[in-house]
Amino acid sequence: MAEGVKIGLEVHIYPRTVSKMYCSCSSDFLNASPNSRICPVCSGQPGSKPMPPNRRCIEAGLMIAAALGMSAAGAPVRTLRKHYFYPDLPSNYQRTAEPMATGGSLHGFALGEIHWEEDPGQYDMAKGRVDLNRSGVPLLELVTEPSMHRPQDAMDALDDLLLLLQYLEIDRRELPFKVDTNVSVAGGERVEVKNINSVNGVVRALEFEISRQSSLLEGGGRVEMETRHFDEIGGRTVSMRYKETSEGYRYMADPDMLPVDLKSVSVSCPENPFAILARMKDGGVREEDARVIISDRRLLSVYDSAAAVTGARFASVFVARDIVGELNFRKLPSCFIDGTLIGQLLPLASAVHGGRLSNSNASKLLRSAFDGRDIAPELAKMEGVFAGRDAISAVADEVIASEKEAVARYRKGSSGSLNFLVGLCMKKLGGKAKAGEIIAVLRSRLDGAGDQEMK
Amino acid sequence: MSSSHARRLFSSRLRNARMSQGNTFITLSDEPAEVPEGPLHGVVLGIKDNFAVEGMRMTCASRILDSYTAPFDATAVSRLKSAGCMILGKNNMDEFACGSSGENSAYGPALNPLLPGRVAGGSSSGSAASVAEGLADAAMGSDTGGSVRCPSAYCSVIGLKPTYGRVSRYGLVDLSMSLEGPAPMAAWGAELTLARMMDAVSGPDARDQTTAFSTRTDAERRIDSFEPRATKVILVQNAVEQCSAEVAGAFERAISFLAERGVSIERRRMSSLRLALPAYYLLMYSEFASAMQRFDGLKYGRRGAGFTPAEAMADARSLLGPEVRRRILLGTYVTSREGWSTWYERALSAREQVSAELTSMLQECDYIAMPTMPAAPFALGERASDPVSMYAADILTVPANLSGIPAGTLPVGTGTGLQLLAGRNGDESIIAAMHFFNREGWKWRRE
Ligand SMILES: [Zn+2]
Repeated sequence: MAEGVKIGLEVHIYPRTVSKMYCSCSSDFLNASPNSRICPVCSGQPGSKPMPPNRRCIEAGLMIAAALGMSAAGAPVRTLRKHYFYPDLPSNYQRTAEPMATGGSLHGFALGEIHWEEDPGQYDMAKGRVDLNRSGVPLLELVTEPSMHRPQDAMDALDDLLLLLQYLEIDRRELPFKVDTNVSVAGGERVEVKNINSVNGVVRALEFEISRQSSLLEGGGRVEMETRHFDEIGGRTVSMRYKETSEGYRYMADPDMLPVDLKSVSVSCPENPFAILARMKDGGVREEDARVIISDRRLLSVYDSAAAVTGARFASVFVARDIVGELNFRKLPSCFIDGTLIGQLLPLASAVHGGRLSNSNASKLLRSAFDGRDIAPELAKMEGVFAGRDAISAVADEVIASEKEAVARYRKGSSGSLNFLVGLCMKKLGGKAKAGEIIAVLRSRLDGAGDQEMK
Repeated sequence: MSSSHARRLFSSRLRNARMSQGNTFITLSDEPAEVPEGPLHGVVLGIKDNFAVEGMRMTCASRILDSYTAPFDATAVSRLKSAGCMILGKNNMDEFACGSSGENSAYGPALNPLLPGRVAGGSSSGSAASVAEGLADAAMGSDTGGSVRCPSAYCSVIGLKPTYGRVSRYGLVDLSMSLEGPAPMAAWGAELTLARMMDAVSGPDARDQTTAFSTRTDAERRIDSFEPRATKVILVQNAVEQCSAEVAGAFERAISFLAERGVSIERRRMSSLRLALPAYYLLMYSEFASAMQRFDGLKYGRRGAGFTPAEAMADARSLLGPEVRRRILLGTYVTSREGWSTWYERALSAREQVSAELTSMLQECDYIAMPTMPAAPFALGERASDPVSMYAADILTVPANLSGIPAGTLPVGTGTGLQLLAGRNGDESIIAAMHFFNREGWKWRRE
């Protein structure tokens, strides 16, 4: 491996938004016929003016910044015009904001800043055609310091970023980000490789560049500062034959834009996913399973319920492999797992964990549950006798008495808390109870009048 | 006025406009299908050709947009339409609003109907001239550094540059975004029309962020609110000293008219006046270069004019007039790395100084008064080869744009105007002052 490698990333994240950055056109540029999602603003018609920046994009940026320990800008953030000429840039300037947050780290690598900007359109050089559907689509550009040393570092950082975006539910699944990377080896200048669309592509581009630059230097040559393009199919980088310097952009504050006071944008930041990841790993969960679970908040909630019954490691395998396997097989989204299904899955997990059910029977019941059948009778047959109503009531009273916090949360409307309480009861009953019955008992005790409401 | 009467009026004005030799319109409208009821019902309007009117050609008096059709209505235009105005056509102007005489139009200069052989002023040349000629009752122009007040003075009509941010700029083609805005003009005596135009177009517009905190004007209701005995005017003495004897004389006559009616007048010097012109031009060039960046020959211009981007660009730039090209080059230089701290930042700080001095003066008075233009209109062609002397004529109008405050002009002689500046959101009080002159029988034509 070459000496003194320095790698930095500029990740252009596509946040999940409904509309574009400065107009109300749809930001879904991937599924539309050319130039069907445009208006006077994003096509740069003379006299058109930008609307205030997309709120959701700013919120997404602040959520990312908070999760990565970045500090938000104190002064109102101005929007700048970055001037350059290109066929896909309708006004020949791009609106790009000043940093909304700085500092922080991603997978331990120091970050520079994050800001929002608009994407240009798409230019098909061969056909000489321009499609402006993408023009004005919101982007968040996250810039790292040149703090990485190996392609693997870049991959780890990008994997973490992807996890974060999924966890925060702000990613565009079909196209989460595109990456520019800069890389230098000791004794050479910095080379920028632009527009890479996948994590894998970043790794390949970096490997190619490091070896290209090293052999150049070993052969007595020089590495000049330049911008290169990554050829995804050939796995190589190609010189773009021009030099870009920031002086040429004539940055100026856009007189049509009001500065944005970030203090006026409030975002609720969920628990940091990297803390959850660490906690799961401490509980013996394998990292890849943990990442699958954290990347989807519904799965995470199923996992939390299951872990209360069976423990972390078992629950993680049950969720990340069995349940996710079933979802993938049926091409179902995770929101398919509703309260009823969770009520079926928890006793199943408990029975398998307690060794009262064979793996093949478990797979059969899992499929039945996903088919929408009530598996309780069969589960009972397979693993023995169920607890009666009295036994359930006794356990439910114990749990209600000991879990005051969860009870309070339930009363405030948290359905997750009910799952949690059901799980505890199920555990105490050794899994030998119908979740539906536990739910009924718990509700009658917690809601009072709940019985009538439920019929 | 009944709708059929309004349409007959429109038809006769359209005929007159077609026969006119004044070159005040670049494109004339079709007859309107229906004329909405509203406070401006039946008012025949000229619209400067840098406002987008849906489905109409918009040239900005430039060959590069000769075949451009606007796909939407500017906010000011749609609001005027729904208030009942009938748009007669798109007024001639200096190309991309670059000029103070109307001579920089690719379609030839609009002619001054009052002073044959003299310029109409600019850049809203055709707007002022078409009102003075009686083709239009009123016009919507745009004022960046005096572009409405200059031709209004030269053609002896009334014009108001509103408070920055009070009238939406959506659909007004950019010249200098932080300085300009839509600005109404009307014939002398038609202050009520001017007031109603302001009431129609002003107030917040979701499509222009800078209007977010503005309020709609209440100019019609407040038109009689000028109380001479309760009014104090500061007269900028060093502004008057820069003017020709003819202009200074007409101006002083109007000041005496006010003083005789009880207005208190104080003479002061404005020390930052000398900074106004360089600050204005540097900032305007900078913003203009950015705004003009899109006219690169690929998006606008002649299709197939070049095979390489460089050829297309060269062709597109050749479609622009010399003054437009001069301003793009200077603006690009001012915002380049070499020019930035030497020019751009200094211009920003000079702007602050001008703004601060005007603001503090306006805390002590109701209006600041000075002539609108330092001299009467010059002869066509006289200054064409001398941009610096052309720029110098803007000295008295640019301070209001630099500080975002409203300023209006009313005729005090043939081709000369009195300019009144007020504090932010004082638009209504300027119109009330114009109305006061009218109500008191002000005669700007010397008998
Ligand atoms: Zn749009």
